[in-house]
Amino acid sequence: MLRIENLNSGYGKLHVLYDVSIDCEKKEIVAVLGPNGAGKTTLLNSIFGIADIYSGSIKLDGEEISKLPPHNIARKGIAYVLQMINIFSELSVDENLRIAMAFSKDKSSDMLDYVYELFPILKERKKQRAGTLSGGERQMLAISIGLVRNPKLLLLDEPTAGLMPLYVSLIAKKIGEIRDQKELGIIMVEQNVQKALEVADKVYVIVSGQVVFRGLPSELMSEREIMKLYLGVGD
Amino acid sequence: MQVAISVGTLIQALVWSSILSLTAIGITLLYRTTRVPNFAHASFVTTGIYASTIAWVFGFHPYLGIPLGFILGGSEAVLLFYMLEPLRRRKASIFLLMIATLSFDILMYGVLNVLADILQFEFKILSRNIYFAPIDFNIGGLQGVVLISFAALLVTMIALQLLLYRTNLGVALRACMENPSLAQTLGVNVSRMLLISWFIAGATAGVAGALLPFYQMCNVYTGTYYLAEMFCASIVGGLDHLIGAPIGSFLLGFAKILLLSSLASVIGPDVINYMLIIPLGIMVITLAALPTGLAPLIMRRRGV
Repeated sequence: MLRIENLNSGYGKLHVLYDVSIDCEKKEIVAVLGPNGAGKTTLLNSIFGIADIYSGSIKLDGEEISKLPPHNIARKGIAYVLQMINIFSELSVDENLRIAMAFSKDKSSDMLDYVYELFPILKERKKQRAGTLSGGERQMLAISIGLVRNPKLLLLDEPTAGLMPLYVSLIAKKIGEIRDQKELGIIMVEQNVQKALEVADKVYVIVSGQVVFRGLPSELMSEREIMKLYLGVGD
Repeated sequence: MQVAISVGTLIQALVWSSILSLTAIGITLLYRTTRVPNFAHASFVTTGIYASTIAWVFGFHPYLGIPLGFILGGSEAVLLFYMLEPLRRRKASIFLLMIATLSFDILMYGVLNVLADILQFEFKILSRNIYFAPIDFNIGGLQGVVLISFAALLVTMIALQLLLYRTNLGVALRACMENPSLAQTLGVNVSRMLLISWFIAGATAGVAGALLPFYQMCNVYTGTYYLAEMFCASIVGGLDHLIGAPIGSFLLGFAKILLLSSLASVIGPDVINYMLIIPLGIMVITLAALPTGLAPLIMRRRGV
């Protein structure tokens, strides 16, 4: 579904990613791991047209999207859940979801029903101003804003960052449920290695803008040096 | 010592407040969507003044210059948008963008002077003393500009309310006002939304300008002369709420006209030279007590 080949990208003169190749299929969770400043978020920004692409290709269902502006990439069926400021805090929960639906090709209420089913707390708080939600609830809303547009590919930038342990497990579990219940692919950038490996089908480790590992979560667990050196896991 | 406020003074205050509101709406809207204080607003207003003049030169009633002011003011703002857009895309600072609007205003000041010269030398009119009050219509002793300016403000506010809260375009505009990055991820073309808000801001300023010669004598400096007052109205009302523009404008408009009228009757007509002190003074006092302006306070009380 999404195929990235030999991607070189960054911001102006700041070259961040070097020859990165990644792919993600339908009903698959791809976890992108790595230390701070490795270029994980830049990868998502590149897919979504926010970062500058110097060379390489990004294809969604065979169509080149690397030259498209972000709003057109969104219309092609990619939803991007930003790490920070990812909800309209002045609007109610319901208005947030309806705004997201207003610019979606699929305007059926099925997805709205689905996200309320997935996160029942949002239904209880649908009239509440989004800025008053707790951190975990905000994250549920942010994921729902992306999901309600019925995307082909969901990009999640550190969806569990800064959350209470209770919410970390819940969000990770829900991401797994979305993969199982919907026909979409998910690329998830994460700092929480343990949780990411629990739900991911495929893992990439990026260090200094280059992919140093690609494989299954179980294969990464056996790479003790990578786990220790770059991900800070292990003895 | 007796201070009397006549009905005529109140009517003058109503007209000025309505015209000021039409200018302040654009400043607030642009600040909400772009965070840029637009100094070129002065030339948008002056363009409106010359729109009604052009209508008059070609044999129409100057009120028919209002739609022309709407289009010319809007088009001028669109031109400025296209000049600013490369800077915005290169992540220019707000300060740089603000200076760019000031440069555009200076450029347009030159263009409007050329237009004024053409009107003066080719069409033999006093293009630097434009005043249409003598040819204004009258209904029951009430000058046409009283009704037209207030009606223009009402129509603008209702149209903006419908646009922002009843259409997808308005939803996109509101989304861009709060969080352009997030709006972009939902498929909103942020650049197009900015273009639309620039057009609306320029068009409403153009309408205000087209009405101004019915209120006072105008020339190519008029827009610049009132720029500080336009900003004061917008800031006093609250830059984060569109409704703040008319709230601030009516407070400043009435305060200025009523205070000036009272002071003039006590001190003498020379006091008019210091009239800008009134809006600036009110702005300082308001900001000291309510740093976000009046609108948030009023909306909180209404439970909005």
